[in-house]
Amino acid sequence: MRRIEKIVAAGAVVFVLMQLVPMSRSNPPITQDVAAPSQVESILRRGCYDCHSNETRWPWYAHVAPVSWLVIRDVNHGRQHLNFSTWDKYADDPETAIRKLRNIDKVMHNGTMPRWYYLPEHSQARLSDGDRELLEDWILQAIAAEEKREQSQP
Amino acid sequence: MAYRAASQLLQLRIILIIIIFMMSMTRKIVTVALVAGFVGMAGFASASHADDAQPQLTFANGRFEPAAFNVAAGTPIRLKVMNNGDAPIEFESFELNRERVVQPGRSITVQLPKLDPGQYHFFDDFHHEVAQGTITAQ
Repeated sequence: MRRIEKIVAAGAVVFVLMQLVPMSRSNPPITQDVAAPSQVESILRRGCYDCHSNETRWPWYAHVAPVSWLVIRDVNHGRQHLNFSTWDKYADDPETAIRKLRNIDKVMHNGTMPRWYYLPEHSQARLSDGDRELLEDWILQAIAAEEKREQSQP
Repeated sequence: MAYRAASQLLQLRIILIIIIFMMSMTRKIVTVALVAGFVGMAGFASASHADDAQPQLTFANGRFEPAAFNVAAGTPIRLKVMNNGDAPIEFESFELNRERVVQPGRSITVQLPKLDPGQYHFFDDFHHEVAQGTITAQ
């Protein structure tokens, strides 16, 4: 066997072995979805929910290693930092909810979200100026509501 | 919790005054000494119990102190986080679903729900080189 054929064969074996590494692609239960107007919810769903909710749409390449490892890592990290499907877990501490909302505003404005490598396959996630304006209005209202709720707590 | 402890101490002091009024001088001295010791111990126990529901975490010298502590499971917790450093920190915990900025020289109170028994890790998201800490609910 020529050298190049050996390399290709070894690569194929490694590729097959990578597929055997067990990885979890789960969508845990939704405990409480974030409250948002329908237009804002639509933007969040197409731009954020795949990584920041328990309603991830797992594409075909999320089942093919090693790309699947990166996808799963991004989803797990995304859910850890912000999860729209478990908004009740921030409810006991309004300041945390406010912090999450301010972070959404920050990453939306500085362009770090959605991730650049997410957009080629998910062009609908790209935010227009109108989208950003709607999101910002909602964020400001949501922060005000949380501040009011915090003041009413003992 | 602190209000309840203070109310209990007041009740004990009232009982002490009534007992002293009804006894002779010698017995008064002995009784005061015994009851004062009892009240002191009760007050200490109450205060300790009150602190359990409001633990305190301090960030100083580039690390959290204490790095690990216990809390009662099944009881809402008001965690006080104090930043004695010279830069803002972000107290964050994925397991607790908490993310709060603490400015230098300031303190915040983080509301935690009733925790199931187990370990919950926290860290400073502004300084990843800082070792993470652990809260054990038991």
